[in-house]
Formats: sequence, C-alpha cells, structure tokens
Amino acid sequence: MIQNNKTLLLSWIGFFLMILTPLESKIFIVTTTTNTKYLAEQIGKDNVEVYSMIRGFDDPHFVMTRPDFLVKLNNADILCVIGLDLEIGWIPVLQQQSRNMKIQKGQIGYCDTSVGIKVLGEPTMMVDRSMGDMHIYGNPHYWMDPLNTIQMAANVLASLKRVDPVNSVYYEENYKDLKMRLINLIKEETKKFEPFFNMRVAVFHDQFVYLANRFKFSANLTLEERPGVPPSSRYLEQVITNMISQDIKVILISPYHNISYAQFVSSKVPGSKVLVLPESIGAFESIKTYEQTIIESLRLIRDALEKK
Amino acid sequence: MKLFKQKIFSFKIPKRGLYYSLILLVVPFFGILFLAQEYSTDIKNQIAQSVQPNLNLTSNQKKEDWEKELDKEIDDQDSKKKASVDSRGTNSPIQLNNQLNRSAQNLMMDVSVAVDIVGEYDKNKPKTTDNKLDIRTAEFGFTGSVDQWLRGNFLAAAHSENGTYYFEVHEAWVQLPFLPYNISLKAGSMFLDIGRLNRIHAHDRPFTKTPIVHEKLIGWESAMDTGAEMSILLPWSFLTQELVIGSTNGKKWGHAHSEGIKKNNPMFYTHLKNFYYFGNNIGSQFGFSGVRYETDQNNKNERYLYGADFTVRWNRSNLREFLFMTEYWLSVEKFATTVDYIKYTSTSTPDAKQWGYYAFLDYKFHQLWSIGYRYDFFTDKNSKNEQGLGALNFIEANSIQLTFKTSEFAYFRGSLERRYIRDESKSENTDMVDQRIYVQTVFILGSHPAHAY
Repeated sequence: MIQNNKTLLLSWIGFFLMILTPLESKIFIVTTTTNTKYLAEQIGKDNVEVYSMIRGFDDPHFVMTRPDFLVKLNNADILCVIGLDLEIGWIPVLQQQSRNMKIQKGQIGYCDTSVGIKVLGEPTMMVDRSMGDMHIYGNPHYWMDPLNTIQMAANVLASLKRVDPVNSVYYEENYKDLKMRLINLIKEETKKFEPFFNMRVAVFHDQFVYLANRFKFSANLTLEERPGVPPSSRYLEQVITNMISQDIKVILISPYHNISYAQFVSSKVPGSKVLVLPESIGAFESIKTYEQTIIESLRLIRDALEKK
Repeated sequence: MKLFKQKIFSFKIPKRGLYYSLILLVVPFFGILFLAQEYSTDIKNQIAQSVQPNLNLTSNQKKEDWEKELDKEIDDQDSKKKASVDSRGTNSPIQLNNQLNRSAQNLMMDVSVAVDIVGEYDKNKPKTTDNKLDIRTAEFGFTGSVDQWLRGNFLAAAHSENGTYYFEVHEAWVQLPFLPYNISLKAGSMFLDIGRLNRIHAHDRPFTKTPIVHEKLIGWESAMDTGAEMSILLPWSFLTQELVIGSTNGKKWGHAHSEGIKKNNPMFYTHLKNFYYFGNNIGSQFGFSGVRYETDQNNKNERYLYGADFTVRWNRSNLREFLFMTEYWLSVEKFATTVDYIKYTSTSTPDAKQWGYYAFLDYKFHQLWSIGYRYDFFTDKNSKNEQGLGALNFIEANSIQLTFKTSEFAYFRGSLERRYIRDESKSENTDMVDQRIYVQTVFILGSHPAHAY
C-alpha cells in the first residue's frame, strides 16, 4: 500500500512538472535600446522574449553597469547592440562578466545592428580626445533614419535565423511586413515634410543628422562645441549669432541631455523654440512604437517650423 | 645737374600719347577689377552651395525626385542584404563604407597609461617628509583577448617611494572567462578580489587618500599576490551572486617595497558578492570577505581578516550621480602557543584584534563636478596602558572633497581632512588633531578598459 502511494505521488509530481515546463522555450533576446527591442519583437513575435537594457529616455552613451544586466545577459540567446562604439563604455565589460559565450563578438548570438548601415559623420581626419567624445567609426545615432532601421531589422533577422533556423520562414515573413511598413512610413512622412525641405535647425548634440538627411532638412549646427563636452559661453555666443543671422528658430534636443544650454540660447534668439524629441521608444509615455517615434519627431519639427 | 632738370621739365608729352597711355592703364585696371569681382562672386556662390544643408538634393533637383532616390537606396540595400545571407556580421562579402582600417585592427588590445599625481600638506609633519607634490603611480596597462579561450592583462606601475621610483608588476594574469557552469578562472599576479576597494587601482578610486582601515590592515593601495582565483556567477532572478575563491603564494603582504615580509606561506581568501537592483537606475552591491594568511615564515602566527562591504549607486545619464560606499574590516591575529620544554608549560597569547570602517558619500551635481564626504574610524583593541590595562585608542577622520572631472579620462580633486587621534596607552599627548590637505590630478592616455559594477 505504501509502495503504491509513493508511486502515485511520484506520478503526480512528474505530471505537474510536465505541464509546468514549457514544451518550447522562447528565444531570449537582450537589446541595448528600446528601438532594437521593438524590431526584435516585430520579427520574432510570439517566438521571442525581448528585454531592453535601457529605457527610451536613458542616455545610451553613459549607462551604469547594473548588476541585474548580468542575469539577463547570462540567460540571453541573442545580444543586439547598436555598435559603432555607442556602448563602448559599458557593453564589453558586461559581455565578459555574463560568462555567456553565445553572445560574445563573432558568436552566433551576437548581433551588431550597425552592419551594412550607410554611416554618416565618419571622421575626415585623424581624431584625438581634444575633439571631445568623437565616434571614430561615425555617428552611431543611425536609427533615426527609417531606411537604416530596415537594415537593423535585417541584422536582427539574420541573428534570429542563426539561432533558430527552424523558424526562418516565419521570421522572414514578419521582416517583410515590417520592411513594407517602414518604407510606407518614409514615403508618407517625406511627402508631409516636402514644404520644409532645406530648412535649418540647430541641435544640442549631433544626433539628428540621420533624421535630417532622410527628411531633407539641415541639423548641422550643434550647441555642443565638442561632442560630449558642455559648451563654453563664448561658443554659445557664436551659436546665437549664427542662429540669428541664418534665421534658425528651432533647437532639437533629446530627453537625456541638459536642456539649460538650449534654453539659454533660445532665450537670446528671438522667436526660437527648444524641441525635446523622442529619440527612442518610451522617451515619452505616448511613444510605444518606432513609427510613432519618427512621426512624432517630424510633427514637432514641422509645427515649430510652420510657426517660424 | 641743372641741365638735366631743364631737359626733364622741358620734355613735352604729346596729347595723343597721353590718351593712349590712359586707355592702356585704365582698361586693364577696370578689367582686372571686373574679373576679380566675378571670381569673388563665383567663390561666394561656391561657398553658399557648399553650406547648403541638404545632403541629398542638388539645387536643380525637383522635390519629386526623392521617391526615385529612395527606391534606388532600397534596391541597393536589398542587394547588399542578399550578398550577406548567413553571414555573422564579422566580415562582409561586399564592399561597405564602414570597414575598419587595417592599421587600427593590428593592435588588437587596449593599451593605456594612467598617471596619478598627488600633493599633500600636513602641518604637523616636517617640511622635508610627506609634504610634497609627487607622482604617486604611473601605470602602464595592456589588456585584450589572447585567443579564443583566454584573456590577458598586464599592468605595471612605477611608484614613488621617498623620491625613488620603483617599477613593479601590479597585475599579470591570464583568465579563462567562459568555463562551464558560469565559472571563470584566473591565474597569475593580481589584486585580490576582496572587499570593495582592493580591486580598484589608486587612480580609479573615488577619493584621494586610502581609508585608514584599509591602509592599516591591507596597505595603502591594494593587497596583491601571485596565485589562482576562481569565480562562479550565480544568476538568480531576484539577486545575482558571485562567489570568489582564491589561493596565492602569500609571499608578501603590503604594497610598498619596505612593507611586508618576504615569505612563502599560502594565503586563502573568499568573497561573496551580492548584487541587487532596486529599479530606476539604483543598484547595490554587498559582500562578505574572508582572508587567512601567515604573517611570517618563522612562527605559526595566523592572521584572519573579515570584511563586509556595501555600495549603492544611482545615476541619471552622466548629469547626476549618487554613490555611497562603506567597508568594515576586522583583523584577528592568532599567536602560536609557546611551549617551555624545561617547565613543561605552554603559554598562549590572546588574539590581537583591530577593526575599523569608512563610509563615503559622493554626489555628482553637474556633468563635470562632484562633491564628497568620508568618515573613517580605526581602533586597536590590544593597546595597553602603563598599568597593563586596555587603553582606549582610535583614529577618526572627517574629509570633504571636490572633484572636477574634465572627461572620463582626467580629473582634478582637492580634499581637506581633519584627523583626530586618541591614544591612552601614551603617558602624554594622548590627543592629537591633524589637518591635512590633498590635491590630486589623474590623467589616462590610450584605451582604458571599462570597470565592473
């Protein structure tokens, strides 16, 4: 009787373990930014679980290497980074500390979304640190151009196909849908932006050059004298003079930068306005998709330029 | 001479000749002016065109052209994608713009130099001793992947000790970072992974002067030795743990050349690190360390160090940051029992105990500026007065500091310290107050690897 009870108990435990254990585990993707998370979710859909290490309003240049990142990276099947040295200060150390061989550079779970991107802002001379935080491989804020985002998605797709080749067709189909949506987004938004082609805006940090290049406006005047270094008052005076003489009335800035410099310049340029743009998904509470990031950014710029 | 002047002034220019001369002079002059103006207009136009904001549009381009241009770009991207099917993205079968320069790739490791310059002034000390500005350390570092399995690190530093620079190997280790079961193994000469501060090199520390407890029980910089260290990562969902176990030669204890005794009795240590994330960019680390070593080769005295460390950090981009860190250390020295073989008696000496702690707060209130405060306490429980009774003694210090960080690679720091020393084992001068001023500047050349949490 006792033997029978033991057998019954073991059977029940076995049964519960069986139903509690998922038959097919999801691919766990860790991304550095929310935009890449969105792309991975759009391509992987139900087959993936995606975690973004930073929030939409965090600065991807400077991230505290939080301890919980190690757990996520340790369990990750794929790590997606923006690359071009954007995360140089925090990703390499976390990668190594994670003890996860799969996500190391060159391994099947490593996905650098910058591969194949048409890079802007590549240095034209030998750079050194006197020039500030220069990105030697070019400007890494490339996701602000939806065409580049298609290439990013292609890189995420390639990594998913490497890690989970069985579902390649499924991922490819989802990628095609996403690509079509992004192409339509470019066409619709460029059409809306036509009256503002060639117009000029100033920026705090040189991070909207890809957006400007795609939608054909100029965002080359930076409030930062050198990237990553607070501007001097003498340089800001020059910016003010430039803005007044060139009739520039809009300053673009991301949520994670110090807005006080932009506000100071704006106070000295009559009729000018500071616009905080959502560079990534989640930068504002209302921004839930990549498409909304672009639509909202362009709407804000258009509204400001119309009122000029 | 007079005749010459007459000839000159009597010379008559024919009127027709004058007109011709004027025409010959004026026409080329205005011609040149006209051409120069045209040239300048051309240059102005060229400059204006060069500062045209649009990267894609030419002046004659119609607005509708962007659609054709976009289609061309999409086709181009598609062809590149087809060519790189099944690639891991580490190399490209097609020509890409952003391919790395071969000379940049050849180095394949991070090379850095870190120089730590410290000036100190203590009014109680003679002018010829520690009151000076000196290069505390000049460190050369090379780090990178050795091959597909190993990572290597070599750090050597020159220290100034009483005006003479001694060059020594700080760290020279090879690591297997990706062993099964989240294990990593390190062998060679290294800064021991105990406590919070010991792994951090002096130039990277958030304050200038080493905490008193650290200086008394471990050394002014860090305890280092040659041996092997194993670490296992335990990634629980609610808490991340890392357990470090190490064994080294125990060859010396202390950092300077005059410190420690050269010996070869093995040393063992362990450190359990716990990482907890509170959310909204607040992370913490707390740990417990234990070290066992023998103080010298000639007797069987054993010294045990027990440590607890806690760090909490918060940041908002690189604009604001808050750091709190504290460490507690207790040293227990067990003396060997002395046996008198004539009287057949054994004498055991009571354990010697010393303990202390520090607590440090730092607040970065601007991208470049931060302000900090540190409290230090240290006491020796074995101090005796003239009557052989336990004598109250402690060292207490309060320090404030201001740091100006010009970038990730350089900073200037000024600190003021008020140190109060009470020692009742002395018959006189039992109380002493010390005021100290420190100035420090650190700069890093080359690629300094990022630090762990």
